[in-house]
Amino acid sequence: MISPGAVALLLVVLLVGLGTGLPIAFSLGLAGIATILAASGERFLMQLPLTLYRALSDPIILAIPLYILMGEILFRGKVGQQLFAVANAWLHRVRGGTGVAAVAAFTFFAAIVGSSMASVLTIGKIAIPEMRALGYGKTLSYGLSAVGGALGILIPPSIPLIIYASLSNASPGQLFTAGIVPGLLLAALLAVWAVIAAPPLQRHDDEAWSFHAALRLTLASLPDLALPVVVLGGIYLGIYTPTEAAAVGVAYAVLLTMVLRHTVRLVDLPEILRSATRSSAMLLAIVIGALVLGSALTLIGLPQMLTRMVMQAELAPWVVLLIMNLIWFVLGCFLEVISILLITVPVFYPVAKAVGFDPIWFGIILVINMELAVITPPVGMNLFALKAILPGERLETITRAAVPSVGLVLVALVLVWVFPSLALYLPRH
Amino acid sequence: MAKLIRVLTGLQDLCLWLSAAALAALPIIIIYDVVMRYLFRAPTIWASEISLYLLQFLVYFTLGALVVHSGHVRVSFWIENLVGLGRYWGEILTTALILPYAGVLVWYGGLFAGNAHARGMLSPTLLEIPLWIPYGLIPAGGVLLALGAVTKILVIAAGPIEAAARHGNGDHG
Repeated sequence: MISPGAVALLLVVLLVGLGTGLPIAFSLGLAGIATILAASGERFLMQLPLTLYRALSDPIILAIPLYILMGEILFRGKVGQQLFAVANAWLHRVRGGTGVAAVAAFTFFAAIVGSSMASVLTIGKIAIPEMRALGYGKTLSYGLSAVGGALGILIPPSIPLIIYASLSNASPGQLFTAGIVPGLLLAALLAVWAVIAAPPLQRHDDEAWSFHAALRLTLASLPDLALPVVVLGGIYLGIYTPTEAAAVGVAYAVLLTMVLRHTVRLVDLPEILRSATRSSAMLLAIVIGALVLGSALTLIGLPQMLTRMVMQAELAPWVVLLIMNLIWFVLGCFLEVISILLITVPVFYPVAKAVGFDPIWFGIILVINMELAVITPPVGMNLFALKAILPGERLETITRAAVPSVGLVLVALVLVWVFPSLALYLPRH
Repeated sequence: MAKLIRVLTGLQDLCLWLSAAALAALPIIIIYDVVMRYLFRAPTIWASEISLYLLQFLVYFTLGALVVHSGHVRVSFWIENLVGLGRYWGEILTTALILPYAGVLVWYGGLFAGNAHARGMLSPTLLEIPLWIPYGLIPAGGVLLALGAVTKILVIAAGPIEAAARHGNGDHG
């Protein structure tokens, strides 16, 4: 029987830690340690190092720093800007074309890196001024960039999907495949919004535009456009694992930015490595803290208790999923994606399995919810990224402008919810 | 005090750079393994195991450096609304809360590694690495984390009260 005192202690320590500004990694860890001590004394703490060691010996986790490193190299090498320039060269002459070009660049960049902030920082930086110059409103240009950046965590490769795979034992390859159609669906919704909401074209660049110039730019960008083929193609052809694909992606990124484009110099490498190490370490410290908390949850049997409660209450599966969605939404306002994943998946996943949800579909629903988390205030990482590239703009203004785009993510969420085959068709075939 | 802070910060910076070197080695090792496997049909016996040790090294050897350099994410609404002495003590308190967590990593991680050493445990692979070495990264990370927290407290305590705001624990929120 679960002890209410242990659950209360867990929640109190967690909320006090988070509320007082203790880093999330240590808030999770302390809450776990306090709960373990209260529930079983120090006997169970002896098991903790083995749990940590085994979890970090998972080759899937190894992919995380590698994708972060690849993203950092591509970010510094301005590859996102190159992708936007190519798309814009073809599309800028039609109404909403620059917005659609931004969406195309975000989608393509998402298929290269697994992070949403990197996408916003690299493509938003060039696309937003371009859209604003063409008379796009703040809601459209900031909203497109906030949600467009969020595509990075849904379209493979995706760090949140890797972590979900590690927590649920689902196949990362199948999860990656399942993220493609929902990601493209959201990109299509963004593109439609851009066409509808963009102002009519006011300046005529027909004279400046040339088919041959656009074609030349595209051909010159073929090495950039080949990146997703190199990273994802090898996975789907069974040549390498998602982790090995990340390593190959790093090598390709080095080749592209240092040898072909010369946008990254040898002297830049130490800073790139240092920055990627910091980002990876920050993320993996949260993983460790969540593992400690996860051990405590297992010890006190919270996931099993919730599963029993749900089964006894005979709730309809959609009600269960709705409750989970609401919890993710609220958490998404205050925590960043990885923390939410690591806190909720160990608790929610057994419930999802018990009510019969497909693990792959459930992972995609979860990650679409995480796309909401990165654009909902007050803690929306993509909003912070927008602030970083718009230093003259107040965060409140950015937030007010970007929040309506939440509606598009909700539409995508409902569609994938109602039509699971949107996520499951590709992995099943 | 300033010299002590410099030495402690230098130690954490060294660990951060060593971890960056480990990160740089990861893709090289993994690609070498892929090439050996596909082109020469001769997969290595060491690449995946060493890669995972490097990952553990990267994780534990940066715990303290991130505290010193305010690299950990936190929810900072409450603390950022504090001013003067409130902020000063708030920052010291939240940093001090890291110490019990570090203590658990040091003590129980140390027992775990010590046990592996006493029993002569080896990795269940052809490499047969003594397991106390990778297990020992956990208490080592705990020591570095504790040192990072102490360094941070010293930095906050040594500076003017306003500096506490600049030396907050994290970047976001």
